[in-house]
Amino acid sequence: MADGRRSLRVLHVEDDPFDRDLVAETLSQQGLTCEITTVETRDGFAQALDAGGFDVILTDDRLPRFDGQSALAMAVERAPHVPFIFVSGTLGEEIAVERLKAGATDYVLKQRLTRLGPAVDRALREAQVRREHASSQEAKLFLEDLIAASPSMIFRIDPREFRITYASPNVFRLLGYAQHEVVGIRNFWRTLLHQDDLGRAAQHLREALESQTRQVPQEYRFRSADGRYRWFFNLMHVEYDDTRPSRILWYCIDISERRTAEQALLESEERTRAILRTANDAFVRTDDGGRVVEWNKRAESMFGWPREEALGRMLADTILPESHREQHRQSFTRFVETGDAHGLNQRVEHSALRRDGSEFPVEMTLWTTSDATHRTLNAFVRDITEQRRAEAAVRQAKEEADRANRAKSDFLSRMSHELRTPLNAVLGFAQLLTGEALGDEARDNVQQILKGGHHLLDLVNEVLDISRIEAGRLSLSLEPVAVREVAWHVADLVAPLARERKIVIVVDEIEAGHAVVADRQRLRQILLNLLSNAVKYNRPNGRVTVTFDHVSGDRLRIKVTDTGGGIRPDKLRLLFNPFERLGAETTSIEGTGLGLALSRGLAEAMGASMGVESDMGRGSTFWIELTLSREVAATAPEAERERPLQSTTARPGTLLYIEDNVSNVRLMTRLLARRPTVTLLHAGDGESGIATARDRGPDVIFLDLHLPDMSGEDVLHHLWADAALRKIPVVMLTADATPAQMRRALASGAAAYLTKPFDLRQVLDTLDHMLQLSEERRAARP
Amino acid sequence: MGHGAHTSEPDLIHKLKNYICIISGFSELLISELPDDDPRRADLVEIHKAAQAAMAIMPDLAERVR
Repeated sequence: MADGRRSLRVLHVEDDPFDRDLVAETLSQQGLTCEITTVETRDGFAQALDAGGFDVILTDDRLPRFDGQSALAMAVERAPHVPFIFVSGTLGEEIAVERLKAGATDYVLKQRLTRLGPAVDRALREAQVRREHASSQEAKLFLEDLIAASPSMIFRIDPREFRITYASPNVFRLLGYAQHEVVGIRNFWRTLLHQDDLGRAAQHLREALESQTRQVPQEYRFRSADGRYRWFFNLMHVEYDDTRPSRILWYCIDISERRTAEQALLESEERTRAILRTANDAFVRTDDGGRVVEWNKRAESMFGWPREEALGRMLADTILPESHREQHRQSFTRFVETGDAHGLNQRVEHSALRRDGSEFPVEMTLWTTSDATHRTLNAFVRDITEQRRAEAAVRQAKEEADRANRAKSDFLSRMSHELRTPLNAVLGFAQLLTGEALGDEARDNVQQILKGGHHLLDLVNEVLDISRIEAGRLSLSLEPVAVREVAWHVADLVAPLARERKIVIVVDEIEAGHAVVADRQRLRQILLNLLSNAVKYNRPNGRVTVTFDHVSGDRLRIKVTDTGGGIRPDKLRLLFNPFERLGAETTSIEGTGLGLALSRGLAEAMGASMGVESDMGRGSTFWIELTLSREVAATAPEAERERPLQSTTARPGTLLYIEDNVSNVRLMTRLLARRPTVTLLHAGDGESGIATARDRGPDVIFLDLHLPDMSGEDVLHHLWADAALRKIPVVMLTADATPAQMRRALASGAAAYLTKPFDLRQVLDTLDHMLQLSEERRAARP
Repeated sequence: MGHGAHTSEPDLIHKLKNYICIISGFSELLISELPDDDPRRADLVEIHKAAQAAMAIMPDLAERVR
C-alpha cells in the first residue's frame, strides 16, 4: 500500500535473480515498502496463491519452467481481485493486448521500470474502487432482498406534496399495483386508503406533524388493484429537519387474516350474545369472585332482577334460597381453587329464588371457561315449574287411574264373592236333586238349572280373572309343564262334547319329555277354551287337530285347528275382546264371550303369546306360543274322576258347621243325609262356634271365612290357642277363592280349604278324609 | 275391563241376568209342578230364593258400572 502504514505484499514470478533485485530495488526507490515473495515454478505459484494475502502479482512472461500466461490464468481463477501486472523484457504490443484481454491489469517493460511504481499504485487504487463498488452493490442487493422478503410494504412520502417517492416492490404482491402506478403520483395515498379510514389517517398525520411525533402506529384498510380492501398495520415514521418534516417512511404490515379472524370472532360473539339475549333459558356467568358478569333477558324475567342491578351482585345471594347459599359458597371456593365443582357439565335440579322471595324449581347446566388467570362459571337455568306441574298432573292422573282400576278390581272381587253365596245354594241343591228320582222332564229342568249355575260360575270366575290380570294381581305358579300330558288331558275333557257332535280330535305326536314354562292349571284352562271352541264352532263330523311347532330355538307353538266355517278377516281382531262372540250369541252355541280374552290375558301373564289364523270356509287355527323349559316336568296330580254322590255309612262322627247363611246350612243338612252316621252341629257366628267346639268337642269343624262377628281366621286362631281344640281338623269354606287367602288359611292351621260354590262330592270326600284324620289324631293322643 | 271397558260391563250384567233368569225360571217351573208336600220342593225353593238373591245384587252392580 502506498499509504506507508503497511508494507505491500508482492508475489513476484521471476527466475532471474538480477531481475528480482532490480524490481525490488525499483519499488523501494519509488516509495513502496514491499514484502516480496518470489516463485519461479507452477507449483510454487499455486502454493503462494493458496496461502493468499497478496496485494499485487508481478510476473515475467517467460520462465524456464513456467510462463506468465499460465500464471495469469491461475490468478484470474484463484485470486480475481488481486491486480496482475506483467513485468517483461520481451512482451510485444500484440501479446500485451492479449494478456490485458485475458485479465491482466497492466504490463511494464523491464527496460522501462520507472513505470512500475505508478502502475502498481494505479492498479491498487482501481482494485480498491472495484472492491468498494462490489461491496456497495452487495449491500444494495441485500437491502432489496430484505425489502422484497419483508411482509411489510414500505412507502417513502415527500411531506411537502404528499407524493409517494418510493414504494417497495412487494406493493405488487400485496396490493397488485406496479411501482410506477404508485410512485410519483401526487396524493395517491388518498386512492389507496379506504374512504372511512382516510379522514382518520389525515388527522393522525396532522396531529403527528404538529406535535413532531416521530412514530404514528394505526390500522387502516388499503384498496387493492382489484378493488378489494385489506387491513394493514401502519407505522408512519416521520423525520424532521429541525422542525420541518423532511420525509415520511410508511411501513405497512398485512393484518387482513388477523382482522378477518377477529371479525369472525366478533360476529360469533355477537351471534352468541344474540342467542343468549333471546334464549328461553336464563343465562348467567360469574367471575372468579362469584359475582354476576352476564345476565340475559330471560334471567331478568325469571329472577326479577334487571340486568343493570344484577351485574356485580353475588350470584348465590341473588338466585339461591338462603338455605342453599353456604353449600354453594363452599362448592364455589373449591371450584376457584381446583377448577372442579359439583354438578359441572351435567343437569342438576335445584331450588331457586326470585327477587320477591318466592322459590321455584329450576334445572341448571353448569360449565366453566377459563384463561391463564381467571375461572368463570356459566350456567343455563331453566324454570321447570310447569314441567313439575305437568309431571305431578300425570302422576296424579296415573294414581287416579290406578285407584279406579283397584276400585274396579275390588268391586268385581266383591261382586264375585256376593254371587258365589247364592250360587252355592243353586249348585248345591241342584246337585242333590240330580240324585233324586224324577221324571224325564223334571230331570231335564234340573240339568238346565245346573248348567245355568255353572255358566254363571264360569262367568264370575272369568271376570274375576280378567280383573286380576288387569290389576296385575293374578297369581301364577310357573313350572315346567309336560305338553303332551296337558294336551291329552284337555282332549279327554272335551271328548264327550266332541262325541256328541261327531267330531274327531287328533293330538299330534310329541315327545313325552317336552315341557314348557307355564302355570299348569292356567295352561289347561287356555287349551280347554281353545279345544272347546274348536268343537263348538266346528261343522258336524268335523275334525280338531292339536299340533306342535318349534318356532325358534326356545319357543313351542301349540296349534288347535278346526274345520269350521272360518272367521272373516275384519272380525279376527275383535276375537280377543271381552264379550265378543261375533254373532254366536244368536245361535245355540253357549259361551260367556270372555274365554278368548281371558286366555290371551293368561297367556301373556305367563310370558306366552296367542294368535289366530283363519281361512273362510275351511277353518281356523288358534295358537299359543310358550317358552320351552330345559327342566323336566313334574308329574301332574291325577285328574279326579266323575263319581256319583254316594250314600255311605263308613265313619261315624260329629261335624260342627260354623256358618251364618241359612241356605248353606240347609244344604249341608241335606247333604249329610248321605252320611247318616255323621251328626251335624251348627253355629251361626264365630263366638258361638268356639263355645260349641269347647262344649261338644266335634270330630271335624267346617268354618266359613266370613262370619258376622269375626273372621274365620280369628276363629281358627282361637281354636288353635286352645290345646284341647287344636287337634280338631278345621276345613275353611269360603266364597273368597283367592290363592293368597287359601295359602294364608292353610298357613294358619286349616287342614283343608273348600271354595263355594261347593262341589258336593268334594265336600263329602273332604268330610270322610277329615273324620279319618280326626280319628288318627285322637288315637295319637297320650 | 281393559280394551272393552266401556261396553263389556253392561254386557256382563246382561249375561249374569240371563243365567240367573234361567235358574230362577226352571226352579219356579219345577216348584209349580211338584205337590205341596213333596220333600224336594224345599230344595227347589232354596234354589229359587238363591236366584232371587243373585238378581237382587244386579241393580247395585248396574248402578256401579254406569
